Amino acid sequence: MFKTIVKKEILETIFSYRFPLFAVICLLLIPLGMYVNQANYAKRVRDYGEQVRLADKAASALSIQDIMAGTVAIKGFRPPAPLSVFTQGFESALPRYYEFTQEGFRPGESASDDESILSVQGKVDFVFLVQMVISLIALLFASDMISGEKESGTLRAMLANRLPRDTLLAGKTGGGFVALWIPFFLAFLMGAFVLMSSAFSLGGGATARVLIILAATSLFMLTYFTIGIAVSTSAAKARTSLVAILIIWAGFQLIIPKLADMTARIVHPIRTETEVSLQKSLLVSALDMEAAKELGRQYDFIFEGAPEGTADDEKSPERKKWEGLRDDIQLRARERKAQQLAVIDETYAQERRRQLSLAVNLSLISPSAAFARFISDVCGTGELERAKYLEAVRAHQKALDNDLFSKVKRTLMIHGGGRMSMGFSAMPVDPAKLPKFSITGATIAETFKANARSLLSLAFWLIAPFAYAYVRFIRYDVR
Amino acid sequence: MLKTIIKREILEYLKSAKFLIGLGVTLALAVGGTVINVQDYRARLRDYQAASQELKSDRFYIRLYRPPEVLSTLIQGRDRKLGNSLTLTYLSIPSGTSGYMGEGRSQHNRLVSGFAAVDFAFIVRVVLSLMVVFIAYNAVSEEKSSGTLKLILSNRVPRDQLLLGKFLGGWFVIMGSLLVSGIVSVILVLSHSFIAFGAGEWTRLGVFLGLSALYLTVFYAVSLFVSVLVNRPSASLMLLLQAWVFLIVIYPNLGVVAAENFYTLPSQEQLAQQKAAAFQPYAAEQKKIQEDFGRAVRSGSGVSRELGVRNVELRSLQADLAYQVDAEYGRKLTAQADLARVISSLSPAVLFDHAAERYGRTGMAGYERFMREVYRYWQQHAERSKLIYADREAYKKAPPIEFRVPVESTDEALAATWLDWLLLAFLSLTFFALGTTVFLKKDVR
Repeated sequence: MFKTIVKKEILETIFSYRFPLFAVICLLLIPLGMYVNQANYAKRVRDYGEQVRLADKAASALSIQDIMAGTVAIKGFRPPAPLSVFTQGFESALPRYYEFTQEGFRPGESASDDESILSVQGKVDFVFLVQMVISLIALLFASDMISGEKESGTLRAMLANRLPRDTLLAGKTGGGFVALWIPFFLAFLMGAFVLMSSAFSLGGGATARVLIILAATSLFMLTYFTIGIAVSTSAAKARTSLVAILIIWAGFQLIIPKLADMTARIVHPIRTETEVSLQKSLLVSALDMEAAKELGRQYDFIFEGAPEGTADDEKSPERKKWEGLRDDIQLRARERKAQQLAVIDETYAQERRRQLSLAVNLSLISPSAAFARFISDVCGTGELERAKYLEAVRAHQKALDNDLFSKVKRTLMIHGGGRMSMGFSAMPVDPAKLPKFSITGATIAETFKANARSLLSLAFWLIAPFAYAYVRFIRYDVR
Repeated sequence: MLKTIIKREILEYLKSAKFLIGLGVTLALAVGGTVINVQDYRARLRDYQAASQELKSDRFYIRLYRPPEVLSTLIQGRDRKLGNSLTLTYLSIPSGTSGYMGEGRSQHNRLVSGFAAVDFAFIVRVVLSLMVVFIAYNAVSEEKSSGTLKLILSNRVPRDQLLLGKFLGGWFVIMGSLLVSGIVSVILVLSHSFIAFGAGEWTRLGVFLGLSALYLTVFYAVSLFVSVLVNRPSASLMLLLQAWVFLIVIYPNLGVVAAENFYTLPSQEQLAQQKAAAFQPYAAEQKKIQEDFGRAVRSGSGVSRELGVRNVELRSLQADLAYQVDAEYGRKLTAQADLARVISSLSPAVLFDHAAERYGRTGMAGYERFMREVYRYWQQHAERSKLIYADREAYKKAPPIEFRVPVESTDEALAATWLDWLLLAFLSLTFFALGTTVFLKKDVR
């Protein structure tokens, strides 16, 4: 009986006006979106290759004079994520590189700021199409599955026979979903074929991730389908369920994600990056000035009255005393600066984390937002990638501080009377031996762990509507 | 008769759940979005004032700032994303802006995506247009499927009057929603003491609301047309929602893709080569000047007037030539974007965005105007820098060069967007005419 109902639903859907419309939309948009995104990715890979080559060339010509002059900015580039063809996520918003200097690291321009106008109108990628188009179609397909049959009178005819209600509901859900899934799966295969024929590599861990994307998207479609069924079992008329699913779709796609972000910004407002940068900059200037005055004072005290040339005589006791004191003052100043900057950074990071956490938690009310977050992390374009990038940047800055920037010491002194002087000391540096910048991406296990809340939200929205539909349908008045 | 139909339509819409929910959601987003945008504007204004106070120019490094636009509280456009500061010397002219502390620095940031904000323009473009579709999708098809259409037309009600009455009834409801959400947003903006609208702002706001009304009219006309064409409400809704997604997102993107493939832009390395090639005729002379300059500094004899002035001239020329290469690249990017807009000119969303950004002064036009003035300022600064060697006393006494941020007048904005208005009006009339034509011949049995 179950198989008969499934078969009936599949055939009915295929021969309805909606199916060819949906099939055309899927088969046209998904491969087209993949093609466009793959072309964009190929361009970004070419640009990345060129820029890494130019940066390596500049780094190999590095001289100690450049470091002493403070004109060195070593760049660390982030490679484009291959699976960004499925979802752009933060790909265009993340800085393409970071600059590492003696004063610390700072972000370079992001991909959306430069050269390509593909970012102008928003991101029509696979996940966007699934969220905005396919989810709506899934809801529309399911919206009149029960209420439509009730209106036409066929529901009571079916149930007048020995057909258990739960079998009917399961059969309708299964059959309707299969009819919806087939064109989507074909479109997905076409999209994958488009990728492979463009010499896009799906090797290594990418294949497993693509399969996760396929599975997650299929479950996402099933989620919306069961929500549509749940709405259909709550309404006596097809028209009522139609209005209800529109409100649900608009709520999940547009309203909840935006309201979540807005609520978080109102409840936890944070300072701007400019404000924080300015605060740090003023702090650094003040501490440097303080250190320079202290150095000037000590220098004048030690060399006051000493014979001319004593300061340049490396063997003189005054010079030895001065070097020890200078190193000590500079070390304490560096530590104090690092500690105070770290406090500012940590406070700001905490503010952002609090705001982000609230926005994420609120947005997870929407299965669409949960799905987008999870898929972005699977594709390496989500929040996890942003965190890994920053982790790699901090580690690289630390490595460069040890291997490069600490080899050069600039000593600024402010003497009595306001006179300023600058001293330099430098140790040799081999540019070929400097560490290379690299980012370790998140593993699949890490991705699942980090997205536990998103997966929970999706699981809830998959199970709860079906359970609700089941309970409602058992008591549904079919007359 | 027409008045009766209009009144009936208005009352029916006002009592319907979908209208009340739609209006509620619109107001909630308008309030929330405006509050956040005002907070954001205040933060940006504070940053601008702090930067102007703390990060002042000196004679060598000139810092120029672009203040945030007051109407970005309602039409954010690209105001947030395009940088607000740049630093120039006679040795270099940046081709783009960055944040006040150099964050988000970009070389060619003409075309920055900026559709994430929930500003009033987003509410009109996405939320209200969707609400229009939800309200109007079954304006005729519901009456046909329920059988009331043939009952109405069995009386002496001309078909064109019936359709016009339905159109106007729904139109007044939509305009009322637009007006209510607009007034709420403006009141919220003006309730803050640090924001004040002058006559120019009020005029541009009025024009923007007119544009929004026309934009929504297009969607209403399309929805009514589909409702007339298709007998089943669910089918008309499905068709309209796909059309909505296509017109708002997909079609504009297709235009962008087509334009990008039409224009091939040079890579970063090619740009660097072009800059080097442009300065090539002077490279040998500059090398000699640099050597002589370095010798003069090391020997302690001082740099001669002629040597100093020529050094400044060559360095400025190099910066100017590099800037011309960047400017040409920027023009190509702009041309690419213009082509994308032309290709997508039948998308009401593209037309609306282009005009809205113009009225809010938050688009590329204002930014390009700022950059042109930066270049003019740089030319004066480079000329004055020659005095470092030609006449040092005069250089020290020379007053700072004034930099005024130019603004586009409302007339200029209207002149630049008359085609957007025309196309939107054309789309509205076309779809209304199509709907009327189909309805006059429709079988209502």
